[in-house]
Amino acid sequence: MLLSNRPRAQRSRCAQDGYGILLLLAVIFAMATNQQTIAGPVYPEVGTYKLQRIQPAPSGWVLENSPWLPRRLSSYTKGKITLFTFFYSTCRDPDGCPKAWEAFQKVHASVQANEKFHSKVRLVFLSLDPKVDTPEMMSMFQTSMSTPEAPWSFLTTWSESFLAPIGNGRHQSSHPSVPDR
Amino acid sequence: MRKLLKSSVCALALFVVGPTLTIADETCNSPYTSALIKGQEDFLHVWTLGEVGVGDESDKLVTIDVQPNSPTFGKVVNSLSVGGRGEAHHTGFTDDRRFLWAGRLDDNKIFIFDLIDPSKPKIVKTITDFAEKTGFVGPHTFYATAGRMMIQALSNPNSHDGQTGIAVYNNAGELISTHKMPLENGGDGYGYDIGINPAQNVMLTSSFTGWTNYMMDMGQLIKDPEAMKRFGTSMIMWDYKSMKPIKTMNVPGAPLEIRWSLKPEDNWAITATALTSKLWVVKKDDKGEWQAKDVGNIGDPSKVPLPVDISITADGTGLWVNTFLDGTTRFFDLTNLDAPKEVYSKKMGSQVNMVSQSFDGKRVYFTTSLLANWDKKGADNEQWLKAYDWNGKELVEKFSVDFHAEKLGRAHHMKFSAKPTKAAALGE
Repeated sequence: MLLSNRPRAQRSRCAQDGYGILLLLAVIFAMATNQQTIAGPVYPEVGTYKLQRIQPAPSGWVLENSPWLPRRLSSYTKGKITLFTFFYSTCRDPDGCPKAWEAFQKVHASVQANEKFHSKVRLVFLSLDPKVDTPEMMSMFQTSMSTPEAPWSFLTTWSESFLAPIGNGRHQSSHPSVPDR
Repeated sequence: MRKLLKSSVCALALFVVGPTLTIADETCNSPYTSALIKGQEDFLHVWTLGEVGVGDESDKLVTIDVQPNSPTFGKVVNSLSVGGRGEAHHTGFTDDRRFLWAGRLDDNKIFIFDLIDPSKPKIVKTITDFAEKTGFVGPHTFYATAGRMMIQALSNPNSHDGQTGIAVYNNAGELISTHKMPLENGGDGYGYDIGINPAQNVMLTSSFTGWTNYMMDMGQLIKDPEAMKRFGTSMIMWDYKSMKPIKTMNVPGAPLEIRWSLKPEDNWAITATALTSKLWVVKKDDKGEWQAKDVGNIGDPSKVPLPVDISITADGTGLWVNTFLDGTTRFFDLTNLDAPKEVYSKKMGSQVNMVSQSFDGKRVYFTTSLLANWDKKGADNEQWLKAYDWNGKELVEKFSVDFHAEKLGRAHHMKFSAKPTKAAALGE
């Protein structure tokens, strides 16, 4: 709906530089979550506003399914619209984790149900807890959640030292702070 | 740069599951600021103006131990001078709460402190080209959004009046975008504070005055009728996603700090006007349109007590309001939002400006300095931090730090931090 209004060359460029990714992401989220009422929020029409380029995605090595086959994080962020977040499977935060999970499930269902998003969108979870969230553990999530039409990758790393540059590269580290003490 | 961007995929991390995204504060942080301190804070950081004849005369970040069980409770444990005096004013955490951005209203320098060890903040970056890059001066409010820092400026480098705007930086300290305050549809172009309500997709801004006025001696300013006309009279409601103004509301008398109610089902904000000494509430009417309403006086407006900082309780039922000129703090019951009622007041000293409360509302901290040239003179120029317990009926003083006796300067903006609760996973 959004990209189809643009010339082919421009569509290609947008897809490459990530701008189109963010715009199309807004389409998906709007479809999944937008309910406007008098009391509720009012969202702008998709495509009428500009999403900001915050900073390039960081680089790093991640694991999917196997501890013996490291892959570049960029192989999970390039070429498709990527909805990416950190998580950890033992999270017990009642305010954050269920909402995050629900949001991704909504998006996943929307992508799954809408043929024009097939092969264009992927979801990626990267664990903050590599000790517990082993590749084997992650593959269980992935098997139950991912579909060919809407791939959902559950990634981890060998250790926190491999995780650190990915977090720090986003200038959003999970430093030892004060979780709701 | 474009090549770099094109070769990089802008993967969008919506949230980090770990630190909680909470619409809350202790109690004025951005809703995008994670790792809320709901219990006992360990340190209080005071962004302090250097003062001629006081210590090294430099602006500094002062760290005070506020953990009652600590042997250094109530003591200054660190003082980090940043060099020079540039009208140190406000600070704000990044969304992950690791970094504290602190601005100066005169020379426009912005210092980014790393709080990985909150007892010993370190400067990791200084932004020195804010005015050149943005076209604004007076970086005032530092308001975290996802991966970014939104900075509300007060003025501009050309006319030095109140026309200004908002600059958005990424967390690495690189400018992303600028947004001028609107002049259309009743907008006066002025700015002061930012308050975002993500649940409503709205951002509310308020309006103060420009560099010429805020750098002028207060005694001279109030005698200058033309200068007194150059204060903000509006609040702007923006569509946050698009960063487009959607409504200008007439709120005369310089509406300053904005506090959205932290109660999840509430969707209203409150502010105080400095010159007219009133509380205003902003909320939707029955037709779904945002409206600003005058809901009552703060003290006796005819005496111009000059309301300054405010602090809302986490449940949205109470509000601390400081009035600078009479040195008084007042607690308002907000149960009836159409008619807030002052239920407690206390003379704090000759002057009082900032107020910060813990999330549970049991501890309240106060400081004195407003602006270097607006602070009182001579013996009335008290500069302190005072820490109190609040039992719901009265403030009970726990300790105070005399910023002159400690040779620190003028005590201004406060932020809490806490010791790490686990080994660093990232960032070490």
